[in-house]
Amino acid sequence: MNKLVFAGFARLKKDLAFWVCFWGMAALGVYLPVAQYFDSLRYNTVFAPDDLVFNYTPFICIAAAVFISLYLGIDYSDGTIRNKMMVGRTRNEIYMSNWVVCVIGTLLLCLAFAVPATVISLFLLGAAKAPAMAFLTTALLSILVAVAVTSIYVLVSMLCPNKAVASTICLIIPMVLFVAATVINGALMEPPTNEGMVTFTENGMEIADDSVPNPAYLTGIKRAVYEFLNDFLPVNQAIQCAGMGITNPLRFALCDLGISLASIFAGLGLFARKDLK
Amino acid sequence: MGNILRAWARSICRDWLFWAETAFAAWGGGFMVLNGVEACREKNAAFPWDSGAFNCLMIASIVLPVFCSITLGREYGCGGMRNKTAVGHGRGRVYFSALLVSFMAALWFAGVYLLCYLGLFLALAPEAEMSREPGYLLALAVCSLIVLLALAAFFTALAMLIQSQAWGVTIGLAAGFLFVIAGWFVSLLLHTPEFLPLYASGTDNLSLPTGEMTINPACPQGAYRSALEFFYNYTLGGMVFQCSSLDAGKPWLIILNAGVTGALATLAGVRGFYRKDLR
Repeated sequence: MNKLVFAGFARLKKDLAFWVCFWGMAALGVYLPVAQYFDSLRYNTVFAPDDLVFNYTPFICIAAAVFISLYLGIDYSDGTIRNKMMVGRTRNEIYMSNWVVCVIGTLLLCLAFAVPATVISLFLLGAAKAPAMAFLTTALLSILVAVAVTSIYVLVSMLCPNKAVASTICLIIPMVLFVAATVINGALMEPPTNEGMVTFTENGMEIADDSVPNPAYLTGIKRAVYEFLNDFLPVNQAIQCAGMGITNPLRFALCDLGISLASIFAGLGLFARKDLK
Repeated sequence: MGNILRAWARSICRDWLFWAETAFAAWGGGFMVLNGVEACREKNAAFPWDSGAFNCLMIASIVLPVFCSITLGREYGCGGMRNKTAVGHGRGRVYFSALLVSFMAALWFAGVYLLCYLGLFLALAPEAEMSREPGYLLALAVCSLIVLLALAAFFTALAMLIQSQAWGVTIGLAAGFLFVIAGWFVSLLLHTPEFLPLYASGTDNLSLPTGEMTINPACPQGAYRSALEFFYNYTLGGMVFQCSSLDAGKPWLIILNAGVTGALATLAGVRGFYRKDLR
């Protein structure tokens, strides 16, 4: 399998999709801290690098979809998967070597954002405010998110021989998850009560009535389900990492490990049965 | 060209992806109604039936690039493009037949969306009213038609010039999502209030309005605002969002700009296609 992995890296070095995503992430890593700096001057507020360093996590869900579907699709279209089997490689070796290369590629895309974002934001916005342990925890969990989404995209790309259809599915997945994340976050952020009405009297005094319960506030099982989904769905996890606001790190990590392992085992099982025409 | 169009119609009707996209457009219509009715019921407000009717443009922005790149792009992979020119069809005829097919597909997806949207609306909230004048809605309908044509022209140009289906669908989908997201973001910025009420701290940690107003620093001004307005009025993303959110201040401007955009995209596509090596 080592030779397959090294061959994968050799191809990765020359892969157009990887380098387009790499420089795109690097450009974002430069743009976002600079934009944040100008916002801090305009609004006279203080932003910390904590708000920026892990912003790559939502973007990596899209960049990885583009890179992995195009990178792995070439294996099918050029017939190299069949060639690898003809020289004696097992299907499990082929799948896992592709998974390893894609994970490393995705982590390189994360670094392409994180390194310039960290350097520029430390220079422009000053020192970080969050404790080192929080940084380390968020970094580890964001890596797990990247591995989880990579596992999903590798599963789709290895089972779909049509490169275009694989690209479509891989791009639709994060978009659907983004919509779900918006709905879930919006529902969870509803306050339990609405502020009472503020009225003016003849004397100019303001009288605030008592707060009323918010009908949109989730309670009970529905809230528990939404909170679980917030820790389970990769894009929701990515948004938590970006804001360094992870509420339940242990559940977060277990969900990511579960997604990764389930995708890998499902992929290995289905790929073993696939007809490689 | 009639033969080419008939051949297209036969192949599209047998394409599972076309029917999957149709199902997605139908789901979009149903989702908009259910989401809107549910949200308004929670807030005890009425949901006007025209508020989501033109969201068919957003659905088209997502579905059309997939249709154009995969269905039209399939002609490159199976050699159909070369065969058509070999039997005597000119490149212009091949291109315009693809453009017509894309436009008809865009109308189909928008129509399916509207059918599901209005059908479900009539079932769930038959007493709903319009939020805008009928004349304005008619003008928006014409705008939407021209914007659909511009979208079809843009994505057809991409599909006919990018030989790789995978790259075509990736670039097309990225462009489609960018139109929608950029249009939403620019609309958000342009609708930021220019002034904000000043608050003073009162008793019990309650901030009370003083009655005075202050300039909102988040409201774009000057050259930045002009650039945002240019984007909102002259790019496909802005036009799609203006029609979808019933925010078109000047429908005639949208019709003009969409027409020009479609014409430019078609011109660029035809010129590029004439020079392309059809291997």
